Amino acid sequence: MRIGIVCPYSFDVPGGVQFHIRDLAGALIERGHSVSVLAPADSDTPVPDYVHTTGGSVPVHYNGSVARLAFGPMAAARTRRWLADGQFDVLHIHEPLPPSLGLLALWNADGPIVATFHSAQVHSRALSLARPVMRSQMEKIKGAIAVSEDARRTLVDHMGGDAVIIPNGVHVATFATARHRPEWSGQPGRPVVAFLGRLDEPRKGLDVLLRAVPTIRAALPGVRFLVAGRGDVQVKSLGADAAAVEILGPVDEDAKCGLLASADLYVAPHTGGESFGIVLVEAMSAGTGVVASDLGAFRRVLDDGALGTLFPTGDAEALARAVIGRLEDPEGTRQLTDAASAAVGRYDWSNVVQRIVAVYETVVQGHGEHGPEAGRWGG
Amino acid sequence: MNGAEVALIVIAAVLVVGWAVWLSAQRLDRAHRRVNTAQASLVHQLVARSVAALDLAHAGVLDPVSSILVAESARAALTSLTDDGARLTSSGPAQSELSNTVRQALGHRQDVAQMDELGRELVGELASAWYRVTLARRFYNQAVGLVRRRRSGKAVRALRLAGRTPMPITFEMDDTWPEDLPQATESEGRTVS
Repeated sequence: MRIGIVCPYSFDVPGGVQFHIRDLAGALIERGHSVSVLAPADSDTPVPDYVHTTGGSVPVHYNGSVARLAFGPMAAARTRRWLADGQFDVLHIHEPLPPSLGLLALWNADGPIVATFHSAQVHSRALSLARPVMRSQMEKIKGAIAVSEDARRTLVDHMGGDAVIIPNGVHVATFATARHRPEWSGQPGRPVVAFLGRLDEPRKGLDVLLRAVPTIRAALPGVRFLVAGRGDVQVKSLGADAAAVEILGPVDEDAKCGLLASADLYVAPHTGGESFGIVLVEAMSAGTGVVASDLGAFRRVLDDGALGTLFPTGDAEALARAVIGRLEDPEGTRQLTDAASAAVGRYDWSNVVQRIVAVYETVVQGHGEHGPEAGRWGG
Repeated sequence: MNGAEVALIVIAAVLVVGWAVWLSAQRLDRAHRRVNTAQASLVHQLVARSVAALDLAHAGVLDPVSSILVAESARAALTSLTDDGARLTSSGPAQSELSNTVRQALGHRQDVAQMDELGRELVGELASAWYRVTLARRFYNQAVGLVRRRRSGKAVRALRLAGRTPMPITFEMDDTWPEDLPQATESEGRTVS
């Protein structure tokens, strides 16, 4: 199949959706499909061969964080040309709801369109005001995929319609076989707790973890906290406890695998805005214990606590108790990680890509039967 | 000189100094009031610009993505001035982001030329409001500069003539109208240099 994939966010600053699209494109190409990805990126950003860029993007505040988005007449013209040149059998748009390239492509396209909804929580007054326009655009989507129950609910609440749930993919084997790094591995009496995510974005919850540090250190004086991610953070306010917190800064994919595999515990203290929780699945794949806030998305990934430990969102004391509990009970933690390792199979790309291709085929078939214009793009 | 003459000279000197101080205080007060009126005018023009951007966003002349993003940033720029506790001085980043978003959404001269009549009219109104922002900001910053110069004088500082009035600061934002697009003054048949 000739598959056109639209990535809403810039490859200049890689994030979850970009990684998902890169892995999906890779998995599809491996299966012999022809793939082109349209994405915003500056011309000097290295991107894979199959990525077609719309040129520069602009940093815009949206939905509580800053995203680099492509919009305006130039992005629209390039999108139209990409659609016309691509002659795709199926167009797969990611995140058509936020104002970005996904919506722009949807606006310009017609035909067999599949869309994946990644995020939960859409707080946009402008989007609500634009609802009548948005609905007519959303009706062009022939097959909707949501990465989680929360993302599905966002779609249902905002735009009507429904979606099949296909979780984000993870290369389980990559994490399961990742090399342990001695400097990040726990020693007897020196357990390691890992955090991953933007340091200065409140909803990633680093603040909740830092507030729990003194309590955890009181119970386990040797504990180390490894904090990886972009952004600035001040730990001076922790006083003597600051010594236990090591800021690693941004880490690449390889280091991320190593960190998750080496740590004794991965903590996800997010306070909201999470629709799936891919890092939880990665930690589970790496065989690492997970302590997470009880957001809906995390509860589902951790099967209500059967695969990891949940604590009330934003409650630093409860987070501290959960971390202490896990670190003081290695046997119980091992039972959880064993169950988690068995459960992550359904998130493996081999499984996920098959389910996505099945959606493509269903949509394309429908067009072959009912539309003379199957595979043709207006624009 | 007898005692009466000395007293007379001292009284005269005190009167002269007092008069000079009073004049200086008057000038400082005038400068402060000029900052206040310039600030009111600047806030007014910034609000007008946000409203013009909102009109453009809701007119359906931009693509849907640009419409939503321009509306979002215009709202943010507006609430950064009108929310409880909002202050002009902290509104700069929101105003700059509106500028940035509008520039990206409008593209080039030929993109605006291709819009329908309503679209071109709304862009013209936005350009006009935008131009007034650049004027109001320049006047405000000039007024602030004057107060700051006056207040840096030795006598003003020694006698605390400014009282507890906070030191005004200039308002910084990105207010560059895209060079390539029709200027606000073009349609009125005038040019700015």
